[in-house]
Amino acid sequence: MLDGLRIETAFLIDDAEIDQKSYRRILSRSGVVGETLSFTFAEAAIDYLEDNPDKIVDVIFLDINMPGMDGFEFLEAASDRLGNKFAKMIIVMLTTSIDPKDRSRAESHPLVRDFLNKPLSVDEVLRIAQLLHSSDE
Amino acid sequence: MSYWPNTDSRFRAVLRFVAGGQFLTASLGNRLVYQIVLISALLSLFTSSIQLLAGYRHDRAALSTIAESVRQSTSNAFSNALWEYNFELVGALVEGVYNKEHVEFVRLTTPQGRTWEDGSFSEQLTISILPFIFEESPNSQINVGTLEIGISSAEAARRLWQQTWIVLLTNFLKAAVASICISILFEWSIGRHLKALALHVSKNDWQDNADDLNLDLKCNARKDEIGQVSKAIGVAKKRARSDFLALTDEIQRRTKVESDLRARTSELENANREQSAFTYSISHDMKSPANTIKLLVDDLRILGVAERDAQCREILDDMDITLSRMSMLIEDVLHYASAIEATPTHKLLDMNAIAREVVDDLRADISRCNGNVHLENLPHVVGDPTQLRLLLQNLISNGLKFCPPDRSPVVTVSSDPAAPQPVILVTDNGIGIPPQHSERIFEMFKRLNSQSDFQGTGLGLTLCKRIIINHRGTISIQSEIGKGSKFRVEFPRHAGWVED
Repeated sequence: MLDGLRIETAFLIDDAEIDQKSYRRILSRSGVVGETLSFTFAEAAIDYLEDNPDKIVDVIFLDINMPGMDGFEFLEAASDRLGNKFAKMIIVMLTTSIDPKDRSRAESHPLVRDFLNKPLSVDEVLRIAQLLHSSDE
Repeated sequence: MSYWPNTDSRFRAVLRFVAGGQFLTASLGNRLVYQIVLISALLSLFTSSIQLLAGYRHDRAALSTIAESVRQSTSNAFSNALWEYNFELVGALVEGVYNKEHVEFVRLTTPQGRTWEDGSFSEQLTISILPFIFEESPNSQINVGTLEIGISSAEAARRLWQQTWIVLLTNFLKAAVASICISILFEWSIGRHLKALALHVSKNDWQDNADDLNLDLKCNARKDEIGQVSKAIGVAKKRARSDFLALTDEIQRRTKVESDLRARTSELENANREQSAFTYSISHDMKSPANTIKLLVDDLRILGVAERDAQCREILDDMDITLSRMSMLIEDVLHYASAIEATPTHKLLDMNAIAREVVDDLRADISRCNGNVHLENLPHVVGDPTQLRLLLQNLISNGLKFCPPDRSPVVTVSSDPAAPQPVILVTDNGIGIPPQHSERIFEMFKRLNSQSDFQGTGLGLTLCKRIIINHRGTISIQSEIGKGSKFRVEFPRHAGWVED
């Protein structure tokens, strides 16, 4: 079942460097991820997308609690600045927050495809890849 | 409708009233009576005196005409009788004069020395002298005798006294009867009702008493002033009653609200205490597993895992970093939990001493970042020493921490002498705070920087804010990105505050 499942490019937006390192390890361990781009500031991710309009991003793993611009603020700013292109990307919210308000806010947000609790696991990554695969078809 | 619906019973009522003698003790009525009677007595005495005096004058005037009338009526007869030496006639005439009213003494003397006398002479008599002239011929007038008439005014005086006594007596009787009548009338028609009104109003259950006043007639039927008063009292009573009931309702409602509020406050206080205790014990209990993990990590190091490969070493280092972040967090949560406890102590504190202690505690941090902390003169503040110490410690260490790598941190702790209340300022030369985030940084766990740039739990300013709230103060920020920030903490004035 691993055939055809592929996340070519994934964004990791999370302020904790140590967590970033762990995610990269997990993503590579899953075997389905190609390129991983890490951003510790959400603002930086938007800047990158603006500077590289042709870059296709398959999945964005987005943390909620970040200093400066937080996860939800990123969604607003990105859709403002990037428009339609942003709407097509798969956004997965990844957070330690067990606050049900955060969960319902994420689930009701049109741009958020899924809501995952940390820690990220390989199974979850495969599931996301499946999602991507089925939406392509 | 007749004012006296039942004449017979009314008559009996009046008799009973009079016999009861209440009117005798009625003070308002009696005062009125005295005044009326006094005035009328004085008036009548005045008029009577004028009358009496006029009468007296009249009588006295009358006396003076007696001599004249005697002269007119008897002068010729006397003259003739004396000329003719008709002594019998003379005697009769003298007697006639003596018999006249008011005449007490008569004496007729002739030039020849003959005298006729009647009555007795007295000093008080008024003597009139009548000469008798006989006209023998037109040129010859001969004095034939002189009549002395003594007139007494005693009679007039006696009469005057008599009249005066009569006037006084009748006046007195008039006054007495009038007083009693006025007194009865007044008491019956006014005094009695006033007493009833007073009694009615002064009853304790005045407002509850549903009865209307009964003043001989239903108060609505009376048209006079008494009726107006009793009607007004009826209206006032109704109004007072409804006000009173409204007030009682309001009081009941408020008492209920008050007791609800008290219950709620007590609930909230309990919940607060519970939560604070819970937070404290949770974070306290987390120290134990945190320590265990630390031990395990150290074990791995000792077992040589770090040497295995670069990734293992990196992971072990990351574990250390994460563990220390965890214990920092636990410390900060413990501090915060104790700060939200409801009852801090309140003492007058010298902030200079506290600042010096804090700087002493931060000695290691200060030297590590090559920093400098300047302490200027600080005011006295009323509050809790532990909490205020934490406040200063957080503000100062923030100033030391959030400094760009190109310079050494300089933190100044000062006050504002121009302010009307105690103020503490903490100024740094750090990275500054963007104005749009100046509220957010006080929120729990909210940070503006990543852990790799500047470590922290996001609880420091939250704790500061909580401590400031506990002390009823305020905090505000002035900042410039890249240049530095100034935190201004204002405390309320206290009894020991002296403006310099």
